[in-house]
Amino acid sequence: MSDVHLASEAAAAPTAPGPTVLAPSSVWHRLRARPLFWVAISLITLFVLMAAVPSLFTSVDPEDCNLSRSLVGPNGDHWLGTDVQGCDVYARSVHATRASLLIGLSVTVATFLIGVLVGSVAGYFGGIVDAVLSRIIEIFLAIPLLLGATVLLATAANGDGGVLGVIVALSLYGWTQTARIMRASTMETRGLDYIVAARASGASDPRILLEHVIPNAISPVIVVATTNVGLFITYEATISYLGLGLQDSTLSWGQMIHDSVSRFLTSPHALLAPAGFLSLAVLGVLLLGDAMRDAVDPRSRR
Amino acid sequence: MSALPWAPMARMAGRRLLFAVPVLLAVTFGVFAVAAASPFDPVDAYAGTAARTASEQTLEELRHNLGADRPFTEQWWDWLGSAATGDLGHSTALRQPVSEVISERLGWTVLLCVTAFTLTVLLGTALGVLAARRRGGPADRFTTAACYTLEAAPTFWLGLLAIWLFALELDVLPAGGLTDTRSDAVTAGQVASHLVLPAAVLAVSQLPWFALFVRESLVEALDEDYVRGARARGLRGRTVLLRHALRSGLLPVLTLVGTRIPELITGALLVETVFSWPGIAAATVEAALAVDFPLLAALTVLATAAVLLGTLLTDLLYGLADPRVAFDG
Repeated sequence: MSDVHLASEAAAAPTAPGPTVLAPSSVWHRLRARPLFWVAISLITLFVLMAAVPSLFTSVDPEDCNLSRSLVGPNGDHWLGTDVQGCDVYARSVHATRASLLIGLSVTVATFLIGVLVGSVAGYFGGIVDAVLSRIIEIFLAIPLLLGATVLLATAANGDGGVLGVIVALSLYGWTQTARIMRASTMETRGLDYIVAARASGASDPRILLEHVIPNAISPVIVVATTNVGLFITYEATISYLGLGLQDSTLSWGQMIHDSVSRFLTSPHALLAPAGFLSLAVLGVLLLGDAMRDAVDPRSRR
Repeated sequence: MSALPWAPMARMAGRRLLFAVPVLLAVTFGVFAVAAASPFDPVDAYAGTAARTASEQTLEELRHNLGADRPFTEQWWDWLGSAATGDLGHSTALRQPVSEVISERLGWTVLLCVTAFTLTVLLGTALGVLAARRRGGPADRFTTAACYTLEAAPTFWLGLLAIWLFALELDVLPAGGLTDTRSDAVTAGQVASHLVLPAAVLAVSQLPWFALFVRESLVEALDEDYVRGARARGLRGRTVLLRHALRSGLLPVLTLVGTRIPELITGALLVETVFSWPGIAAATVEAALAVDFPLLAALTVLATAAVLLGTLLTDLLYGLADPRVAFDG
């Protein structure tokens, strides 16, 4: 692989990841000044609370269903109406938050760890190690994430509809972007004077990598990981909507959308509610990611 | 433009094509390995409910005939051999040869994607220019906010909203399919009216990335010396924006279009499913739901090849646009 960044790599990191040293205090100062950051934090706090303590938001049992009130529109008793089984849509949307956020966060953590490990090792050692790892990255990158996850879920998981299956499927195909950005960032950090100094003073490769390279090369990856939480929440909803993700046993926004899509034209409220929750949560995460990108990389500031 | 670097470009394309062979082999091998690890029994899928009443001996024979009793590496090798001669196997879900599925449906997907992407480029450029014209102004803030909102909305939801609004409430456009249910013939007019909604939704789903990128690129270009120079010479703001800044600002964006193929495939998959568009992407979902291995394997290869082609195109265009980049990838 050449040292020249190819266009396809620039696409993976539109903000040109550099060895921007993340000085926490100045980042916090810049973040604090942005109103959108506070909108994002409020939305995220709201949804994290909802996932942790759903009873704060609703006292209605999401499993308390009554067919006699199937598909009732929004009213005083049921703020967002009921679904086909006669369950309260608002209560179900609130309780679905946990699975959706859990999947989004778990997949992000998993892809972050894989991506940072593969990317930093490839970027730091270069040569044959980089060549092999880069080819592996390219093979995974060539498979569209949703298609790969779909194949895996349809076959290996055999549609058992568990949370773990969804997390594994999305993680397996979702780490490549992180790895490429980490690799590019590590390659820029590797040549800096203090790394050369650490090597000259006899530090071992693992030690240099862990203590000097990764902490200084990681900030663009952290920014991307933030945005990825929203992306993976959307992917969970999408595969569940297609009928390949979570099944009836686990309540998630995507699963609620899947259940109500066939009656969407006659009772849109049962679908609009979980879809609205989903969009607000993703919007919160995207806004946070954008604010962080601006704060960490002052070059892209508006 | 007579001095195009044909030789290095051809060398790069050649190297990439050589690399594409092992990638595609690895991807098909992966699909077969996953299939082998799956608890799913292809004999059950083939025989359907009859498998429950059939004797163990019949099932064994069936398994043998289907080749399901051999190790997956052997099955993979056989599949490769017949794929090389153009025989991609038989789709169990759609009950027709895989090659027929592809030839019947690929054209509709290409039509949808090309229409949608043209729309994205036109709309995205217009929005990006509007936003970049006055940074922080009302148009800029509106565009940026709209882009983030759209990015947060899953594609399938946009599609459902569009059906609800335009097909149900306003009743101006058909909700799905390729033609009206009444008509048998596929006419251009019918297809055009059925294409509007899916193409528009696919275009809008790709819009946030494109518009924000145009905006960023233009904002950067507006800071360049030659733009300041043009302004200092007293040229009108519009001329500076469209003739000077846009020309150089749009180039890096257009070259990156090829890297968006995975997102375009994902988008097409959802849009085709929502609108019952008879394309290849919707067939992927059907194949996955029915665990149709022959079709899934072929479609995965097809998608992977499209992605690799897009990446190659991007790097070629990028090298052309920026002579400092060497064709050595």
